Amino acid sequence: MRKVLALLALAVASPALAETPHLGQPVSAADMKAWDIDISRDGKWLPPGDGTAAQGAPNVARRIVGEAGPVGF
Amino acid sequence: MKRRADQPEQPNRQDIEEVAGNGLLHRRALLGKGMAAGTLLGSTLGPLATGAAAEPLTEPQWGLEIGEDTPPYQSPSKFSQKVARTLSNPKFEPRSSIARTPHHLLEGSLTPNGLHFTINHTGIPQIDPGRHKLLIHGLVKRPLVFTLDALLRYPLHSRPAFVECGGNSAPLFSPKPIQSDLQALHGLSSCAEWTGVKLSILLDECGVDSSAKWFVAEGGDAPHLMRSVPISKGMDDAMIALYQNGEPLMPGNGFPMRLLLPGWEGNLNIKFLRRIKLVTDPAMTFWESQVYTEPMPKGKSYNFTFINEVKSFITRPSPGVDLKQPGLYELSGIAYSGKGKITKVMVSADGGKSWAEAALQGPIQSKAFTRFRLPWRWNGGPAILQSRAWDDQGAFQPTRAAFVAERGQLDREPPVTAFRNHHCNVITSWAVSSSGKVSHTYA
Repeated sequence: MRKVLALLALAVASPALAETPHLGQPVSAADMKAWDIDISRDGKWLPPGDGTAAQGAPNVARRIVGEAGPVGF
Repeated sequence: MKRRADQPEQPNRQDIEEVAGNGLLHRRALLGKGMAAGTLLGSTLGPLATGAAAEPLTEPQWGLEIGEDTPPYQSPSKFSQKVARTLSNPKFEPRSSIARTPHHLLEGSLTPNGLHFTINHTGIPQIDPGRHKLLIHGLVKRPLVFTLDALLRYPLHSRPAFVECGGNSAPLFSPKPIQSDLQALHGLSSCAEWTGVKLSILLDECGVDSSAKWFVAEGGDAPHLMRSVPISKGMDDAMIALYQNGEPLMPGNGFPMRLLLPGWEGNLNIKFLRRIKLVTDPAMTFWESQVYTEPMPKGKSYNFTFINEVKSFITRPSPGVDLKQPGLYELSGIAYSGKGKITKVMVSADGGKSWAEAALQGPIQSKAFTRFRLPWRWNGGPAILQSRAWDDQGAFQPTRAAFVAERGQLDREPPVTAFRNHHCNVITSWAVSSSGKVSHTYA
């Protein structure tokens, strides 16, 4: 019975979805890896490597030049 | 003010009701129609054929010869070359390039595409639209890649929306009024009609997991600028914009596609959009944990200030758009709110002692520029012009004093182009001297 209700709910919810074009192409995790570059706030998705914030700061200062100096764009 | 039916309309300047101090007239006084008394035609307002007679009329050269060829894509008249953006980095040094909209030279409620403000951090990418792709992935049932051709087959939606940098109006954090023009003070805000695909349609097709509370949007140009956006905005009025005022997006505005989050901080409206990742928490990127934050007086900072609050400013007159001689002028300006529609703009000519309600040019649309106008008879004396806007969510512009009491101000005057703090929506004040010169002031 629960299954039937769930199917019914899906049937009610889906007509609007079915009317959109669905032209997105599926993509595998391996094929999107080169673009998956964001890092979670706990650092979980960082690529392999090491270093500290203090060691990295000069790199940031060298590579990012802001409109108003090192702080602010 | 009654008039008998047989009484001809007499031009009578005294008919025009002064509704607030220092010469502000009723907002209907210039419309000629729909006035309560029905007598206040435009002709009653102006000086009636005063001054010297016009010179004899002659045929100018352009009326006697063939003009120039028709270009495939029109450019403005060579006599309108001053109607241009100001550039922060004209030599294209290795830093951000910021171009500001000349509001003081424009009218109406839409910004021409060539004059829309832009900020680009590593130049303007030359993206081949045939090779650009948009990936939606993360906490979805089906990660999908969309091409531009695919998106053009989706139901399209058009709406006007302003886009405003979080750093717009930042010069007003200065402890002293910076003597610069409207373009420098408020030129990082523009409004266009955007056409594109509602993001909610694409998210539905991907099947959003119930654990997804945010999405990270990323640009395809070299900085790969990323911002975190609550999923609720994505399901509300977010759009993948493909057209700007009817034509494909300008390269500096995100060609071939950008994220449009109507009413929200400009930097969130990711240009050259190539990726949307659904996640449980914000990514705390450089742009949202360092750059676009608001330092507070006691050493803490706001972050994730999404909404651009209600704002207005008078565009004419304004610094550099001075007054020639006493007489009748139309004050003109722009109002907008990231929360909804503008409901009211009040204007003062005496530094806020008294206020008159401006006429709003319709149609008034949510999260878009609304042009306001008000007739003003300048008597040739000093005046301080201000505008203050209200929106349909009950928000209104703070006075600068009230704003500074809460948010603080800078210790000393910054360069006019710097963004040392963000999201300033205080009342702007223009001082008019008895010579007609207009300058920036605090009042």
